[in-house]
Amino acid sequence: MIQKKICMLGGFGVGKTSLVSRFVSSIFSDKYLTTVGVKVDKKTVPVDGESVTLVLWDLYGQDEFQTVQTSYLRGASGYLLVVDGTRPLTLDTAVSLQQTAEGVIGHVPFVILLNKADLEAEWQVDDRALWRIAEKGWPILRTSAKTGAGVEEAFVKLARGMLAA
Amino acid sequence: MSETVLARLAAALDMVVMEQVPGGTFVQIGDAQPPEWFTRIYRTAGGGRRPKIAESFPGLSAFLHEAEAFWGSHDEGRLDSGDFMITDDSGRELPITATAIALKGRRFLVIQLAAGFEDRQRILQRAREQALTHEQVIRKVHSLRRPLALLVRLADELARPVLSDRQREQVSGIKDHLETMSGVLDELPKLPAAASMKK
Repeated sequence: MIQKKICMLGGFGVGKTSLVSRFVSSIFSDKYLTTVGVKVDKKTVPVDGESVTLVLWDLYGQDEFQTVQTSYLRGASGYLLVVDGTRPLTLDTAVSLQQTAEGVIGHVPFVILLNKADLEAEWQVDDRALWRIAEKGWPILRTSAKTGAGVEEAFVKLARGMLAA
Repeated sequence: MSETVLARLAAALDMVVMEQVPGGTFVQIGDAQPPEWFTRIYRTAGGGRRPKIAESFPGLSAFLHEAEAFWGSHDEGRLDSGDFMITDDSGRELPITATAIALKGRRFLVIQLAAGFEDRQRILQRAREQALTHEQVIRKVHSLRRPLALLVRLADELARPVLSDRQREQVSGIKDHLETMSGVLDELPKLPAAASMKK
């Protein structure tokens, strides 16, 4: 069986833990409970006829209180950079974390997730900033941990990228 | 002090002290019964085989790489893992922390329930909720600035004694902007107050 490690990266409160809960257990809670430390979950998904076990490392959010320990990234085959569409600064954090991750584990597949798509009417992420990111060729997907929209697709897209790498 | 006494002391403190043996696996020192939470996670697999420690504690796998490098370069000293969460066989989440200790060339790994975890989580939770509230307030305030600046300019225009058609139009503009500001101001009290964030 193929096993791949994925790290969830992003600012605090962007929905990393909620995305993992939605993906692994089909559960969502509106209550925000901050992650301290690391939590590891697993889910096996079929990807193009292969059974792939994704080992999901849900890391605490990067902010002024906690900086992500780069050692947690070791062995990751890919990562998801999560952005809260209603908070423009979380896109800057994601870009910064991408540079950190690339410095530690090199060029491995990753996907930027614009999360909280259920609140799209309140999104404030700058279209020009997104355009600049798209120009770099970085894949961007819209997700909602609340409704589940785009969540499975995001993990499978990353898994497919990791298998192809 | 014998290793058995040390292991019993550690168990009484909810810790497990393991030592790396040739081949790279970890064995508990002494013959003390490990803490109950540990045995619920670190179970003997089929055939009596003990799983590798990182199989039972997957959050340790990255730390053990760091620990190997640390043990390889230090005869004395310690390296802490930071917190990681483990789900036991009943589905309960436990906060765990580990410490790699080098002692006269021997390699010890101490695994324990993370002391003070709930306090740290409560403090971080509150700090982050307040940071989120602050971000929301900043965005609201930012959204008020432009209409406010326009209002100031229009008010200057109204200072003239007789209103022309254009000025009446401007008065209408003032009204629109005032309504925008009122809408934003109505939202501000709905933001969660710091006092309600205590868990």
